[in-house]
Amino acid sequence: MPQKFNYKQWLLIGLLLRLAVMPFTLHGDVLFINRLPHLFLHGEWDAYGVSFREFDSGYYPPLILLFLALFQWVAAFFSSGFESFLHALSDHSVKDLLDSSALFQSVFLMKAPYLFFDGLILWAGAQIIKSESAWKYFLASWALNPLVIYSSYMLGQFDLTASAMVVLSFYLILKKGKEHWACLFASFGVLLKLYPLVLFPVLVLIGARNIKDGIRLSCYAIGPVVFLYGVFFAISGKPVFWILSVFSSNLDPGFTPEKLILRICQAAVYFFVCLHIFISPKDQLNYEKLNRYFLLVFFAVFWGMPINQTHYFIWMIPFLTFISACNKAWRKPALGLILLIFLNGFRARSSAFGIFAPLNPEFFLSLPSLQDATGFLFDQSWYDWGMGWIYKLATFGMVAVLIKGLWEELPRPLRKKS
Amino acid sequence: MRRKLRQILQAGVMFAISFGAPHFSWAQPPTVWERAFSYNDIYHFVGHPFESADFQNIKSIEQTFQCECDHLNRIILSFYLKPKRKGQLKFELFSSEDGGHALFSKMISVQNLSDPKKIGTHNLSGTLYQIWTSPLKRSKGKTYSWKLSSDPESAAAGVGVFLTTKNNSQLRPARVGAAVQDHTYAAFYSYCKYEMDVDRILGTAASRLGREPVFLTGYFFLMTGVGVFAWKENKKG
Repeated sequence: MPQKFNYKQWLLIGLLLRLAVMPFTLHGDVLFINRLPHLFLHGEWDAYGVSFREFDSGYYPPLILLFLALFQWVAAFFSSGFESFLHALSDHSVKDLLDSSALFQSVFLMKAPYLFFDGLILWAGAQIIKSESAWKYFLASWALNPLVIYSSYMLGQFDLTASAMVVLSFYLILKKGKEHWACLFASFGVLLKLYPLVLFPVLVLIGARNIKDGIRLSCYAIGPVVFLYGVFFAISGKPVFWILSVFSSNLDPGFTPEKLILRICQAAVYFFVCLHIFISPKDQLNYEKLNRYFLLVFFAVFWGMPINQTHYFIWMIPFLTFISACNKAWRKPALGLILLIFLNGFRARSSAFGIFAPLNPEFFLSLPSLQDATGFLFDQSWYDWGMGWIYKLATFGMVAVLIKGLWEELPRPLRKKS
Repeated sequence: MRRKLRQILQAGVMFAISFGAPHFSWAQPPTVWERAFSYNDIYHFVGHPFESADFQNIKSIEQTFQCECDHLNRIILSFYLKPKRKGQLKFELFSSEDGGHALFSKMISVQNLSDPKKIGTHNLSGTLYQIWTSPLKRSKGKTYSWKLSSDPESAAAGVGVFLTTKNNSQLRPARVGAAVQDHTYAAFYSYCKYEMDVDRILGTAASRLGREPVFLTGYFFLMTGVGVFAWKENKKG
């Protein structure tokens, strides 16, 4: 299939698929994402405080606030309707917004910046992948990837921005003399969506030549985070961190036997990755190996996350696509995993057919979702439990394969010693 | 073999349809068609829902709301339940135009309510109870009230509803017991049955698209440009 078209065509097909859904699909999340940057743009410096006091919610890290505010400022020059739509986000219900006379253009513009980050991921992919057939496979898979199209261009979630930063740091960490840039991009990733924080130790371990170098790289990684969070903390105080209170098994401090097992598994995988980096000869490190480290970390992180939050999985998709492109044995399992996650996204009506609400809200929001069907046929909790376990078992298997491969690649004396 | 498998599947689906899902409660069992296509008009389990006083003390709760869709046919109430609960609640639905006569009423046995579970993404434990009525034609724009009251013959105890202080333009403050409480609303949902009408579906979509001719013309040219460019590449290849 990838051989059917040339590179340019795959690029255009990807663009066409994204453009086709952008103006006609809407989920409440994209409205939430754009509401606070607009207030900030209009002089509300205490944006986090306002979000906490008036909307009972936290907001994402500060860089996405600044980036979207900047984008909205630029976009407003091209569309006055977009500016009025953004104004209405604070005091109008979703129902009112769906009746806006500038709905399609506003929804289109809110998702437009993601195209740039999509491009960044592809650019980095082109630099990393040297084999022509692997690159074509990567491009075709990325162009057609249902998770990327659905989560970013239909739901309007911005995980692609942080994902692009992580891919850039992945590319740069193995470039001699550019390790500090890799840490800086990871830092920007944290300032967009927090999760790249788990990759800081991995990046520093890979990039640092000695302890002094490690401290230098850590400063590049942590410095911008501390600085920008510090600025917003000085303005708004504790509400800056309110987003951490959002439900997630990875952040929930509660203690149950199930959580203890989860934490032990996550810690064991993370420890293995760090130890492997530490004891492996640096000159044997390449992108394929680095990709396996990243995938292991992501699989471990996702064991603690709900499978129906499809947009989170965009963090991992570039790396899953990369391993499939370079290793044919991974293609079917990766595709199966992507489809499993994708199908779990259609739970609520607003994220199934209801996503086409801009065209006809009453009709599309009336159509049943996956949850309506599964909840009708079985007890919904059985279904959720079953899908969660299928996902966990599949990724446990993948983790085992990755660990086995990495273990076998260790030089023999090291394997014996450890 | 394949035929047999299909027969088994069909039988399974028919079985599920004929019995309905076991974890829902019905005022009157609706058909699959009525259940499948419904529009969520009011979604008000929002903000920080909190427990009302027990029905043993307040006796009744009344919530007035404006319906914004035709064929109102479902209300989902949110109850909190105590381990020792008893009695019956009477649910009534009124229309402001109907001179105080109940359009629909139903007795709810408190003991038969399903055990509390975590509700949605909220860290609250309770039971969502679905009440189906036959679809109310031309309900759009009309004002309705639902009232839950403790049955005088079998007083309800160990049960209450969730309330919230979050405002909603479709709701008036709830009457809890004898008094209307400012900035307090019942946390509940309401739905309308969607009537399938192809002309109306396409007409609505067309009229909505027609509101943004300039943007959509530009968008059409952009899409065509990308498509033509890709097609030309194919010819080159």
